[in-house]
Amino acid sequence: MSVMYVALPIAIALGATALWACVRAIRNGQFDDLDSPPMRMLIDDKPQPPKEPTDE
Amino acid sequence: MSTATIPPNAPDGVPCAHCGLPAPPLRADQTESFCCHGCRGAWELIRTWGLEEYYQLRDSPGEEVDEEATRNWEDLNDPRLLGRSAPLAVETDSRAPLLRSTLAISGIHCAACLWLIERAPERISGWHSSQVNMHQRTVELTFDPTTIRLSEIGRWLHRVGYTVEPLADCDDNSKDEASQQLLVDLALAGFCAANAMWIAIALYAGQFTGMAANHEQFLRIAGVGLGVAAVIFPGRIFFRSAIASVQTRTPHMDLPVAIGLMAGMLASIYALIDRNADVYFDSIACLVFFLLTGRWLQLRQQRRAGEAVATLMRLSPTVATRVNPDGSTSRVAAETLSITDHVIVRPGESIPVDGTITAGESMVDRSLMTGESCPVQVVAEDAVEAGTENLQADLHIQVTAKGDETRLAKLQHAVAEAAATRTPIIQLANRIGAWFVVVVLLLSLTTAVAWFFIDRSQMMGNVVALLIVACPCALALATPLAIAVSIGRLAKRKVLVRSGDCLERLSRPGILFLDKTGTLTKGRMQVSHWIGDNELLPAAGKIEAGIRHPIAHAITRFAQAEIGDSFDSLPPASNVNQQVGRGVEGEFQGQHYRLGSVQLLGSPEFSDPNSTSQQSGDDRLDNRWKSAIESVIAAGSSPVVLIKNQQCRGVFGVSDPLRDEAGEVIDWFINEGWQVEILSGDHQPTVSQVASSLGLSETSARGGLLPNEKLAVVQAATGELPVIMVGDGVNDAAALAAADVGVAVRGGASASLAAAPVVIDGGSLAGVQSLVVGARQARQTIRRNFVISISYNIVAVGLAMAGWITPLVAAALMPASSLTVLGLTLASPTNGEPSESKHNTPSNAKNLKESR
Repeated sequence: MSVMYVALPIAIALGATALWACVRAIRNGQFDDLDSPPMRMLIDDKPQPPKEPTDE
Repeated sequence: MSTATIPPNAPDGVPCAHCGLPAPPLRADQTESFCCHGCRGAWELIRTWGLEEYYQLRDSPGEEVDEEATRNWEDLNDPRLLGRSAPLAVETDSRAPLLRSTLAISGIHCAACLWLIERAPERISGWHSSQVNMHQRTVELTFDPTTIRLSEIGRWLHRVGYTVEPLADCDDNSKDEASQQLLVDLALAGFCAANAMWIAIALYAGQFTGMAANHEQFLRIAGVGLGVAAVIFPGRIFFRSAIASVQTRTPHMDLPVAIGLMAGMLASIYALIDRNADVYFDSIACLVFFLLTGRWLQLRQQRRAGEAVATLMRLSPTVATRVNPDGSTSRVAAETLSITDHVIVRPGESIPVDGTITAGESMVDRSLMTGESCPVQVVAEDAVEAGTENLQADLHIQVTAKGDETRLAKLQHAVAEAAATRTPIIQLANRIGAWFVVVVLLLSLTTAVAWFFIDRSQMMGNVVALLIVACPCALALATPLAIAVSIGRLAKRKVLVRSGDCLERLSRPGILFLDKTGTLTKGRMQVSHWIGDNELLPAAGKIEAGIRHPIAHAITRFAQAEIGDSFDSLPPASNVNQQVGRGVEGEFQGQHYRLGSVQLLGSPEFSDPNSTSQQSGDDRLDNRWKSAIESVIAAGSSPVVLIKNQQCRGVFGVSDPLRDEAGEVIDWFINEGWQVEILSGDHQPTVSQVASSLGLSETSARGGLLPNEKLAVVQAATGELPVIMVGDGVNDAAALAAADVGVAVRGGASASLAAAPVVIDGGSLAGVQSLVVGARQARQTIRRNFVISISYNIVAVGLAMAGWITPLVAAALMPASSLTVLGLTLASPTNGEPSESKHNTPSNAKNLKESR
């Protein structure tokens, strides 16, 4: 059972790392717009055709 | 002479391939039909770009493209006029620096719009990328200033139906920061709660199987550490507001929460010293987490109110044309204007300020204030409001109010205030949650004391079992789950509910307010009658083609539909001249025509007694036209006469027809015991006529209401009974925000969509009916869930106190109640089919009427 003295701090540390990543993502503004990304991921990317040199 | 009479409510042909509005029927050589040139242009451009997949991706039709809007896109090139949208240089690898600008965008409503806007840059050189933010309705454009200018991008987007505007000052970031801080707190609380829960499970398991004392103490220390962290960091906001509540001597929800947290924390710390006492760290960490989740949801709702204001702000133009003292004109930011400045507003532009007309006469679209699509005539000395649109001729305006002083700004504040002061519903689960810790602590103390005297060896196990079974998971789950299921079911019927508490408010019959134009009616002028020779239609259509007036649009569309493709190849009318307030005259293929109200005929029985009609003499009216005009008026339409070479040759009947389902829906609500009223900005006689045709009494039709008056009516009605407001216009926005449940009809102004917590996407009023039925079912489900989970908790706590269940049995029982609630909610009956009877509308509505 003494392995618990090592395992628990490691578990907490792993969780804390995830927490740190989450907080970073929040501070980066990744949670500010919760409406467009779920729509964006529904649409498949298509290979980009070459851009035409002139407008239209 | 062949005469065609179109019965009212004739089939409208097919939906427009781009915007879904009625368009002429398809002919053999066509695969799609368009309602107007703007939509055809957008459709062709999207095809040229190779992005026609857009039409498969979208789930609802696009917005009508207004090809005639003559906007001054050049303003987008002047950074001084862009304010917060001024382009900033972005770093690139090598070449010339790119510019990036964030602009407000209107017209987007689904994933396909986002897709189209983000794909468009691939097709146009110099435009590098666009990134849409659906939440804030903004688009971030990156472009190469050496190849393309911002005005050109603006014009491209406009051609496919989206309009960009510089950001207004209220679109700021402070709300984002508040939301971010709360999210960080939420993440921290979630972390503490989840880990504390695991540690608690280990401890409970240890109670049952036995555990070394030093291990147990170690777990306790770790758990208490997490619990204390949850209370000190994310939980500090409860203490802050609890202290404020004590200082101001106003009882507040946060006070018992703070007491509970404090008691739990102190008891847990004490338990570290006295090993026989219990630790409550998991309860307090979870409590902080759940309460913060509630706060975050609430904040999101408040942000939505803020967005409504931001969308409204964008309605008034930020740039004005100022007349300088020397007579020259210059484009300036509207904020820099001062009272007594003079501005010129060109036709097609929105008026940037409140002011008085000093010169010029024109028609102004005041739909923003009245909700009516028919423009009104303005002459010198008339007052005009910011945000309304000048349609016909240059207007010289002296500024009387600008910025925050305009009526539009006051309307904006009314919307924000109405949204913020709406009495919030505190969810039952939250109310219980506040007392939960205190009650459980007291109960476990009682249990401990009682068992101390009965049997000390069982004391610990019973207290732990109680703590486990008392976990209010099912209770906390009951409401949100039922609401979420109902929202999902309503969404399938195209009723989008953005805030769940709407459903909780609609518990019993109350008052239903409906806007008229665009809500009860289709909001679009249509030719319902045409009495005359079809050979005259090309002339009528071509002369009206260049006129910005809903009636002119209706006649052009009608002519286009009747004549077909050859209409486009006909020569345009010449010498078209508008007579403000009366009609239009012009020449087509060498003949002189006049189109307009019956005043043009100058005959006393049809003319407005106040008009100074000069027409008479050769305009003779025989009985045939007299009876035609009378029949049009009797059918509730406005007559438009066609005069060719001084002879009356045709009569159009133009009206804004009622939605097909309006009568049926209103009958349903009246049968259910609701009080139904019409609130309209239109003239009282028109509103009364609509009310009587829907079987409503004279007193329930209120016309001539300004936005603030609509708001006042709704606010006065709010109280005991739930109040629903259904509307579509900007003038409804404040009333929508103030009502218990504001329902916006899609196709209306984006400001009203943003202000309302419910949006009917399909544009059918039957959605309001679905909403009420859905709310009733959600309420039944919630009530049943509460009964189940509360009785479960009472029974289980009783059993635990009596010592009949061990901690392990308790741990198995706890999820059982949550699963019961979950299963019953998902299995609850689906929403009824209120709109099913749509197919047999007339007979059904009649039956209902007779049965009353």
